Amino acid sequence: MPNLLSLVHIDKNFYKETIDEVKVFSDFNLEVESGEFVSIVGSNGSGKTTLLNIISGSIDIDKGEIKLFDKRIDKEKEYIRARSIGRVYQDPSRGTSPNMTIAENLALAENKGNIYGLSFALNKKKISEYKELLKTLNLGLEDKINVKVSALSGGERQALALLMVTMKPIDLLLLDEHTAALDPNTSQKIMELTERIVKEKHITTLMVTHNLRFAVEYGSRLLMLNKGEVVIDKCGKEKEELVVDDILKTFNEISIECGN
Amino acid sequence: MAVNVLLNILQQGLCYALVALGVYISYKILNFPDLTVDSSFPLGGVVCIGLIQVGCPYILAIIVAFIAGASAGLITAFLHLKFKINNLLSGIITMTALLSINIALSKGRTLIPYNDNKTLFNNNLTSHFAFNQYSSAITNIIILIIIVIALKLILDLFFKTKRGFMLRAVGDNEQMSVSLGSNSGLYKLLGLCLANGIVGVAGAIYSQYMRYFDNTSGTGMVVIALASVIIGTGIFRKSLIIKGTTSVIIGALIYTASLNIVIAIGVPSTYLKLFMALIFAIVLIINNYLPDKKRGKRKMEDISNA
Ligand SMILES: Nc1ncnc2c1ncn2[C@@H]1O[C@H](COP(=O)(O)OP(=O)(O)OP(=O)(O)O)[C@@H](O)[C@H]1O
Ligand SMILES: [Mg+2]
Repeated sequence: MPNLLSLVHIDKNFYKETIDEVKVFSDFNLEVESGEFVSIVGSNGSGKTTLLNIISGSIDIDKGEIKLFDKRIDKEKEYIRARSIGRVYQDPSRGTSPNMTIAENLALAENKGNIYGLSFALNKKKISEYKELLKTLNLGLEDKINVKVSALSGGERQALALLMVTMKPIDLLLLDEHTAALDPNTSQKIMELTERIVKEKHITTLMVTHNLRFAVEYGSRLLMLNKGEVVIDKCGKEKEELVVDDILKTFNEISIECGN
Repeated sequence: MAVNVLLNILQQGLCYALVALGVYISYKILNFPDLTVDSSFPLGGVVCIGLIQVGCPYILAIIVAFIAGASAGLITAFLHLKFKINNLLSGIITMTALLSINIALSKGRTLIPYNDNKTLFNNNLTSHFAFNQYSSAITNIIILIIIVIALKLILDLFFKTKRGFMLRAVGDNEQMSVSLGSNSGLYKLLGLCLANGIVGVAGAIYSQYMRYFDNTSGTGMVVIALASVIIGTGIFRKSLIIKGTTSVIIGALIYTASLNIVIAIGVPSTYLKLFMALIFAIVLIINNYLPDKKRGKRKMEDISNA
């Protein structure tokens, strides 16, 4: 299988050359194959969000190469990369436009990759298409299609954000603790929805999570990061046989090393 | 007396409504408090009256005023986007620089259209409507209503297009607009140009209505416009029927009315700006205590530290 994403010899420091310098990655390498669903775990500050940030382009790397299908993207602006890389954040207010209605948000998402020109963004036909689409979520959002997104719950917003980000074909989906702000029940629902969408559309996915059960149950590969290094990388059969206790053990060993 | 006050309120208020429609785009849609307005307003005025004086048709002069105002917005946008200067400061820089430009353009004088110059309010058509002492004011009001409503309808249509949607999204959640593959900077630039272009047109129309231009005419325009926008959107914040554009027009009329009432009850005009600020402060205070304030606004700064 060809590599969809490669990170090669990546260096990333914050506050470089000052006393506050934080070295997050030095000579970091990662290859992700097309179709993989990678769960990423690791303690606070291990660099998970930073990893997604450098892939999506919201922060720049100091050194190295990032390639999507052999094409270097590390010099591309975030909004350009966004055309092939989708992202859902932990904070449910990030992925949607709060003062616009569900229909308006969907209309924006549907036009992604095209010019936002002077033709009307919505019409009756589209509204009924969106209603059908929303029905697949089983959250009753189809009845709230003209409600502002700010009036929705966090779970509803995350579901909408997932729908929006995958409405147009993307090559890579980045999920940063996208269920962390939700109650256990909703969090489970959003996780199942994620799995369903990713499978249906065959989207290569990187999912950061602190929920070890999700990390073990979902996905085809599991990575654990510690201080900017990959300390566990399991895929295939090894991943299938993995249980929560295995990761927990490594977690504890790392914590003891760090003197916690 | 009362009739005159009312006619004044309507004429002035409708002129201010034009400014408020411009500022609605920058302040409310883009979430960008743009102080350029204090200078792009008189810039529109000086360009327009100056051109009319040399015999340019007033329609063309108004179009040039739009372009002049839009260029002012472009400079502010450029300072903010290219050099990362904070939004208020970018506006202050452009506003201050333009003060000199406006004085240079008017050569420091008050500009008055010549008697035979045609203007929006004084042309072959309007000269037919002379019945009594109020007819010129009423004609002005009709012309202004047509312009204000036309602009409102154009903006309403624009906000229903894909580009209009994206402009709203950039102001509402910039991160999302970036995620949708849009260059949010370009949209801010577009919004600021459009906003200040409209303010330039407002300045052009206001100075034709006043029948003169002078360099002080823009002072306080930001306050007038922001107050109008905040009053209007505050009053109708829960309404699902009244559009934002309609509410800022009503806001402008209410604010103008309150200023005129202050004068009508005998407060010397020296204190006009004092009351302008005072009423604005009261509006802001009331607005802060209104329930159901906007939630979920996101700034670009905190994107990378999720
Ligand atoms: N924008 C930034 N500026 C400065 N330092 C940063 C920035 N983003 C991250 N860091 C630092 O980089 C390190 C890694 O942070 P990161 O957010 O990637 O961790 P994480 O694995 O996502 O943690 P968490 O589980 O808490 O979300 C931390 O030490 C953090 O302080
Ligand atoms: Mg994180």
